[in-house]
Amino acid sequence: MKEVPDIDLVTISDEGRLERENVPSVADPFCMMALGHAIRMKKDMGAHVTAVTMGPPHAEGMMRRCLEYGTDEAILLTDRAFAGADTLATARALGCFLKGQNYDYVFCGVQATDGDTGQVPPELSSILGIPIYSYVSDIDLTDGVRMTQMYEDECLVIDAPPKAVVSFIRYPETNIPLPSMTDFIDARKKDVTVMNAWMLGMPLNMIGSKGSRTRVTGIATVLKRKKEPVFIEGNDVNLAAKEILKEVGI
Amino acid sequence: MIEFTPNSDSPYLIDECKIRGNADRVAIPENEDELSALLLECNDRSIPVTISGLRTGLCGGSVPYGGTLVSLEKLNSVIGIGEDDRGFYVRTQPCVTVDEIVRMVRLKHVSSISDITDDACARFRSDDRMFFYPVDPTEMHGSIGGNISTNASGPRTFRYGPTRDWVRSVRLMLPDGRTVRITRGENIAKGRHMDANVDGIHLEFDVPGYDFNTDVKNAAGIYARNDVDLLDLIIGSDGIFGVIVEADVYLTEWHPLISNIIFMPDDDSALGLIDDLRHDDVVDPEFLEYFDCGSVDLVRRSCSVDPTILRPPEGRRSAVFLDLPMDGSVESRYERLFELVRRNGGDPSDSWTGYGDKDRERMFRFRHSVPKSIFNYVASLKKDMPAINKMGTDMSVPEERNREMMAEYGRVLESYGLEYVIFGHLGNCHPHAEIILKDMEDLRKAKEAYAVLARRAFELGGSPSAEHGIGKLKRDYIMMMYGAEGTEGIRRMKMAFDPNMILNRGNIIE
Repeated sequence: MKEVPDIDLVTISDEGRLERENVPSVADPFCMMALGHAIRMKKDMGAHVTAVTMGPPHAEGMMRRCLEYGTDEAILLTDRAFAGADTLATARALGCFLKGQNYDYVFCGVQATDGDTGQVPPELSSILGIPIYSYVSDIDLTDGVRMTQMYEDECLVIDAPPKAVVSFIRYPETNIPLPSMTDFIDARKKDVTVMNAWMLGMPLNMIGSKGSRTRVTGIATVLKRKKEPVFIEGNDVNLAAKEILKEVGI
Repeated sequence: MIEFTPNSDSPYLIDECKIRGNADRVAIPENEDELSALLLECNDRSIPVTISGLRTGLCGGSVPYGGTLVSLEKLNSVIGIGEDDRGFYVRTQPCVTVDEIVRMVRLKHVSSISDITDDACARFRSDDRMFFYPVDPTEMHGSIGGNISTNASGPRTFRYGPTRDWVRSVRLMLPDGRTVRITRGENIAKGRHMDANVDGIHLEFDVPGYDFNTDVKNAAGIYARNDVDLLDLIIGSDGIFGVIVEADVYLTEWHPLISNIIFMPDDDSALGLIDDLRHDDVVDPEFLEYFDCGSVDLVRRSCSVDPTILRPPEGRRSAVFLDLPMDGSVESRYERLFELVRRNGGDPSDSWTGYGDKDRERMFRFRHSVPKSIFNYVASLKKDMPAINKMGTDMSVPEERNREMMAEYGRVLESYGLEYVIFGHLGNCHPHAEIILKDMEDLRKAKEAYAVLARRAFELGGSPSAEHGIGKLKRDYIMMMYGAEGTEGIRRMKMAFDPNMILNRGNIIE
């Protein structure tokens, strides 16, 4: 799970700046798809579901909501040492927690609405040494676990045996049944488990800004530049391609 | 200023009641000066002027019948924040939507607006508390000017009252183009006589002689009573006295809420739960909405078209929607609520609950899908039957007569062979019975049935128009409620503001 600013309330100032002040945080909508499918798996197959996030202390509210939705456990990885983590450092922390767990599937959102990198699920797959099923739109549980992957121009239905990372797209738009009033009251009897870097046994140079390999140095709007098309006469495509490469300096 | 001759299918000639009017000209002023000059011109030439905001009204108030249609859509800026003894208020132009006010207040994005009183924006921004505008008219994309003109209300009226209770002042443009700022408490009638000097303009008239019913939720006509505030006469007057060009609306402190939709086995059990909850001091709901089994079926059908709508549980169910304060007593509130749900034959686990914005948005989308699906259905009928329009009741009665009125909806509508669903603000004894029309014969029958029900609501001490205003569609009920004398009183009062009778002709009175 990842907590992100409510993108629907973020406005752009006249100077083109994102105005995030007072914008509340919400569970990322892609992650909510993953949560919804996990809860469905619990209801249909009796799966044990653990929700986990790496985030600031206030993400505890989101994790409590996961318990209300029906997860058996909710884990918040929080520590000042995690601050400034890029996708790799984030995946390392999540992977470190997961290595100590007994699991069949790791469900994630394909990306998050604040960063849109889409890197954490494949990095997790690499760290855990298990396959990844990306762009999953639905799971069919009637005969094993069969997943539908949506690509730009094709839809792939694939049997997905356990021990895999699965990343979900928003398709169709989220429609997870809301918790009931009794779910809400029952969840108040449960606690969100909070873990820090020391409890995970992670060296400080592997996490947070120290463990990051990338750094955001600035955000700018990329303006589309319209160029005149170049026409190359002739019948030899390879020759034409070479001329184009020469034209652009390659 | 944009001006054009509208085609017969122009969107400027219709509002959400789906009645289509006609106009010789549409004028869209860019600013108040242009509006003032336009009104003066029309006044001098006695050209009827119909004022239109964002056309979300349900009674044809902004539908023109000849003359000039003036759209205020360009007067759409939030002007600033002010503060007085009651607290912070927002000053806006008329075509700012309720949704825009709610967002601006929520996020405290005040960098581009002005201080109405000294340092009000800075104080508002630095205040630790969060604020909100508490009137939720359901249609959040309606204009604040339209909301004030119809004294709009909605589900939160149960706790916070209607728009009237939140208006600090309006600046009103008279038909001759001059403006007056009318602020609460500054101009009070002596008995039934108003004699006020406002911004150098002398306004003297008699307030209509009837007593406006304040025992129920009511938006039927002018708020006539002894010692009435001039501002209250303007609120809910369907624009017949002047054009609102600015409005100040108060804010109140926000607190977290948890929304709940509880599914009940049948209509009667949901009504029983609402009766139990209305005055329960422990649960103390912030609003209380009802959906009969037909409404829940309608939502279920909508889910197949729009997968973002929450799918109700299978089987025939009614539902009750309520908000609770999310405070330290939330567990004791639920303990009592579970007891009441069980007592009325329900199961507390047969419910949805949510408190984050996203979850609550989904629950409100569920609520709004009932009227929305009816709007869409009527719009689809209009292709083959252009004269058909939506028929939904908007009647309130005193609490002790509510069950009697609920029985009347069923008895009367079924006696006409009409299909219907009932949902809405049962906390305020104000449901909407929406008639599912199939053809023009149904429309004829529905109009008759509507008149019978309106008469019955009035006889039971209620109002035939609780929140949508009167506009042109419900004008007959003014005569029913206030008689010829009351209607004439409204006309005389209008003459004091609008001697040439150019403004919003046909609203409230002929």
